[in-house]
Amino acid sequence: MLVLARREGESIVIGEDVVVTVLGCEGGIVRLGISAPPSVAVLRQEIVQQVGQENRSACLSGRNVGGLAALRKGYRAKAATAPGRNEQR
Amino acid sequence: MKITTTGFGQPAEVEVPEGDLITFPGGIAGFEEHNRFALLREVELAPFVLLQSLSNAWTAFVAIDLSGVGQDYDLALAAADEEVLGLASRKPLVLGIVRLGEKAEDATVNTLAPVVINPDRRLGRQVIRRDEGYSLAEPLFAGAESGLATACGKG
Repeated sequence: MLVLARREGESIVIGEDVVVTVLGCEGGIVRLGISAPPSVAVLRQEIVQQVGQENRSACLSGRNVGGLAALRKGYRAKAATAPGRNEQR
Repeated sequence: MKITTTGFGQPAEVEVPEGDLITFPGGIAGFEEHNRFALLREVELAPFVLLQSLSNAWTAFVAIDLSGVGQDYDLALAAADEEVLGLASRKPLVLGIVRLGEKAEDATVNTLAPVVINPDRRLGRQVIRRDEGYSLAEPLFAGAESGLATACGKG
């Protein structure tokens, strides 16, 4: 990991297109401004990790998907009894 | 194309039309190396589909089409995602990955990070919503006034 020290108002350039600016630092919280082209996603790391964790929990891994048949049955039953809904085949 | 799926429990071979073989350039979170998925849309599963990884037969997901589910699930894609998927003028397929629970009623759906597919280009990506009000594990059957099953009925 590259470690750089920046003061408020100073910036870092990443690659050709990404600029990170330290906007402020107070109470242990650093506010960062990020300039990046639309093609580059900028996300908090913990949210990406949480999504990964959720995907891993959801992965079937050969689990008995008799659960899936029950799920579909239950879903259709709910949808059919909801007001104003026509059953779709 | 014939592929192996474990989406129904034991490994099984199924025939999948070329148009349902989707490339995920970055995989999905936690499965970054899985770059190709088959979209299995058996009629008897509807409204659920299976996303079966072609890299590993044991990697499969249940998903549900979110676009038909509720008038409120409006996905404004970031320019980044539009660019990757080439979605300038085409309406994407938006799926929520479902997590099965002990019982059918425990199932949840990930509305915070939907899987977005461009059916024409056969490109897919899991995009993370930045707006509020969505969940990694939204109950599919919650209560009488909420939950996606009821939203579908009102939609």
